[in-house]
Amino acid sequence: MKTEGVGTGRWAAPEAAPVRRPVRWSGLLYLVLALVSLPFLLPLLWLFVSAFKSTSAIFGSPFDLKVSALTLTNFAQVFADYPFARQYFNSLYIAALVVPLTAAMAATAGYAFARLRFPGRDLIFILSLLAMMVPSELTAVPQFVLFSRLGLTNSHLPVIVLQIFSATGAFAVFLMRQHFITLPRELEDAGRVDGLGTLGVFWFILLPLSRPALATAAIFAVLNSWNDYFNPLIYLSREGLLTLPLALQRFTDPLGGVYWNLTLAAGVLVALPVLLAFMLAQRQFIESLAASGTKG
Amino acid sequence: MTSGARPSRPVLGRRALNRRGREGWAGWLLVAPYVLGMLIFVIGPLVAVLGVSLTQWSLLDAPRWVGLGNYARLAADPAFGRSAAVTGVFTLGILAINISVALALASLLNVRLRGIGLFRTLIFSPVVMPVVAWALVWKFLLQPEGPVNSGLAGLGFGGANLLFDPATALWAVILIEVLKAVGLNTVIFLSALQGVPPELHEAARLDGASPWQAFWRITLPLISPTFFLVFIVTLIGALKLFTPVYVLTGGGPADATTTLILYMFKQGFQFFEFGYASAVATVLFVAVLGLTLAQWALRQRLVFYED
Amino acid sequence: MKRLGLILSVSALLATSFAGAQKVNLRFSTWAGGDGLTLLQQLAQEYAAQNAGVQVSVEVTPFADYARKVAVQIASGDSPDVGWLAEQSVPTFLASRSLLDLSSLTANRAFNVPDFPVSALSLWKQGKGVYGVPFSNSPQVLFYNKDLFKTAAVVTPLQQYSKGTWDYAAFRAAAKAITDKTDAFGARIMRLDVKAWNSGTLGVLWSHGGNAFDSSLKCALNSPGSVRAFQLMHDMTFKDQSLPRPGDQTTFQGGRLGMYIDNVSFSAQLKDAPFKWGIAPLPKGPAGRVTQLGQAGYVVFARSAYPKEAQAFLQYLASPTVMARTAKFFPPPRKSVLTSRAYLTSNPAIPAADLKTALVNQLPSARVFRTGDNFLRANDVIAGGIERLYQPGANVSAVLNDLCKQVDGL
Repeated sequence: MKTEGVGTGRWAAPEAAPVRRPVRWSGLLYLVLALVSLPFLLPLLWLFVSAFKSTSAIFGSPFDLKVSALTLTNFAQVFADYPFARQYFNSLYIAALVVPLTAAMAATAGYAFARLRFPGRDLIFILSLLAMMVPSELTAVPQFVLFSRLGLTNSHLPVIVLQIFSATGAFAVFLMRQHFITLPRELEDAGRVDGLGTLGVFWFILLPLSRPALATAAIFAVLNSWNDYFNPLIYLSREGLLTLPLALQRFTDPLGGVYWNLTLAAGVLVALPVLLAFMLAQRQFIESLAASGTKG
Repeated sequence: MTSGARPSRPVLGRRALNRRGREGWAGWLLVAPYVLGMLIFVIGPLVAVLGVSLTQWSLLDAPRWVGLGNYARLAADPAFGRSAAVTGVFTLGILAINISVALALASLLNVRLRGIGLFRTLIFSPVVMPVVAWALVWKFLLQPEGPVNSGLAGLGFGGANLLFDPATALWAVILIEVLKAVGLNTVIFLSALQGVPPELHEAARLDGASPWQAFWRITLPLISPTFFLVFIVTLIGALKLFTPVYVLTGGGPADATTTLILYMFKQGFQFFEFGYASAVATVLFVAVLGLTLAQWALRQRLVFYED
Repeated sequence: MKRLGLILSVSALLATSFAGAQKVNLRFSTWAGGDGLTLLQQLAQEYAAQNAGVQVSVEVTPFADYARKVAVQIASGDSPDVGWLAEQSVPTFLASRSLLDLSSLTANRAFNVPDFPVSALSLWKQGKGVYGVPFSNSPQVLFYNKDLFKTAAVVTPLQQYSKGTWDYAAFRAAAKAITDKTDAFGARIMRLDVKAWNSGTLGVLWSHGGNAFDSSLKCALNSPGSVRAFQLMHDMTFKDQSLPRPGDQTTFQGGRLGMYIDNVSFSAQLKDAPFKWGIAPLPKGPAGRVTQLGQAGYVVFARSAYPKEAQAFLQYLASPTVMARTAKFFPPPRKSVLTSRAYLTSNPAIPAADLKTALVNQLPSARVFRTGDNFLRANDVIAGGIERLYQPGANVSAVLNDLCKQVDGL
């Protein structure tokens, strides 16, 4: 059985395939779903409740979910006593740069790897697979030497550039290549008949079909950029330059002992936007994955 | 490696040859930004690491050439062997549990049901939780007298201390990591399952196949490309996984959770033996590369749709 | 190509914001947080205001990653000029000649070296050189939860100390009573992280005549005194169950620990504690009452681009007036500051008399943890051994013998 064209259109949108279930079955299903999601829900719940507790309550009665003990002071203190707003902005704008740049680069390179023949292509593609596998801890020192010679430490540039070109970028390129492979050749041939060149075919015909795949690459880029710890740790030393995962380590007493109440409150603020975005867009997210290069 | 190349395309004459020349230019133009960046920022430093692995270097002083000395030392280092074994168990454990749980969850979540979005969000939520917070929650849950160990004591396993007993710590870390990461694979599988036409299942049912058979014979082959993508991403992810283990156990108790990447990190950034750490890194890297190439070759045979 | 242009323009943007300074820009690296960091930033500003042509930027790194980040910076020719250094990193940085000799500075009469007790500088000396000046000279004290002692009807450590009965037998009895009569643990000796086993543990070892390393830096964790001390802690953990097992997250600030050994600066964590607490000296053991002296110091890095200006800034930081200000957070090594009324009353949560008894008076018998330059590696092995030791039913002296074999084999 051939299944070509899986990537271009799904056979059936989920809406088109309503599965009717007797009421008692859906009751049982809810029960199973509730049980299964418990180990995922509880840590989240704990984080959210603890963020509203004092240190002594977090450690003294960690599993007490009483509402009366909750307070907003942690959140107030996070913003009043630390440059957390500034650090939040840093993470936001870095993600806002990393995501479109990664997507643009992955689209062009992915297309070239999938569809164009040029000398050295396969070698380069293998190298990019390598880049996908290299842990950032491994190459940190030579990279740091490079950027410090360029005088670029204590700036966000290394953090942005390394995110774009290391594993995140390589994975996006890989994803886009797999996507372009699944698009039928006939589309391109039609474009050429209409007088479009290679770049024209890419821009006017293939790219508009690639939105779901690009969205998928973008989602991975957002997650990676938002959670990046190691490179910001090495490159950023000034309080005002830090990004969120580092900022989470900065709620300490004068000698470095952790203020857990502030750390957890800030942790909620770090997790919240991505969580909300997923909740609101989960259907589009899943559909874009379904229609994207993850098929191959 | 060359599944997209399609070498057997019909020859189109002079125009095509001309086009091929242009295609070459366009190809280079389009990959140039990525390739330049990758060569400078990843491959270059990687080559440098291979060079460093032939030296003795504490970071604080000047590197000293020792040839293959670091590799000889590796071969004789029992801690390295233990760490390789830990890595094997860790990686296979994560692969097996993460992928099977993700498939099961995706099948469960692939229903039309009011409020299903909420359950999907819940399963996905640990993916976006900060690692530090996630680790802290589990340190609380897995305290010697915390809820999990007390629960086990209630079941007759008194004195359990899952995260701090060398015999169980590795599996505790594996399970915690699967819970954290399985949401992403679940969502990817879910998207693939939604591409499987329900008519096929209907037809299989009419032919008398059990749901289990239908899953193995119809669903799994149809989502095999996704399966392989998830497999490779999870494999690489497990071998690269650093921060969650580091924050959770730091490699302890008694090195029971020191995977190769942690071992490398310790040698390089904790003991400041950067040459030796680079040798560990090189070995780890060659292993990952070999695995990836092997799975790529396997993929040509097993994956369903490519050509 | 467009994205390359964008990258370039972004980099130009970022670069210009850091260029254009004609001044000497000193980089001061620290792991301080909260109010401590605010004070250091203020000091940096004041110094720049007094010294035209010098600017100081304060750089921060989380404590856990501090030494490795500074090492990477030094390796890449991007070294900070002045910085903090914790005691356990000192041997490594000394061995690799990464620190600048400050003896010309300390020889200066204005610096007034005799103001420092000999013990305070010993860690930072090598040969004739002085490679750092401590800003924090902190003997560990015993924090105790007054409410729990009251509930368990046990006389407080401070009272027992004044009666002369505060020894390890009394410590064990108090811990057991609190464990039995309340829902709390009696005491915690080690910190949460086993890698930091030496905090707390060492004081118990020393007071029992044991040690981690002997004078020739060989492993002494299996010496008779050490075994006695570890046996006590093992018994308290598993027989009395008055000490939490490794992995337990119970902390003093949560109110469910009777006693806890840490530096005075830990009191910053107790600002919102809903219970009464106090500090006391550590108990007395067969070999006396020995507490661990925790140190952190200012250093100038050897690869600093401005060694002269960096030394001048360090001199400012280590001067009596500035040390009097940082003493609010860090017990000062200068005797003149330590004994001043201003210091003793600087912490509103701790009465001056208690601070004098628990901290100042214990200084003569306090000891610094001396380690070799392969301590980082040894510490990893020891932490693993401690994890094996704190298993129910472990044979204490067998584990320790095996551990010392490993440590000496490094």
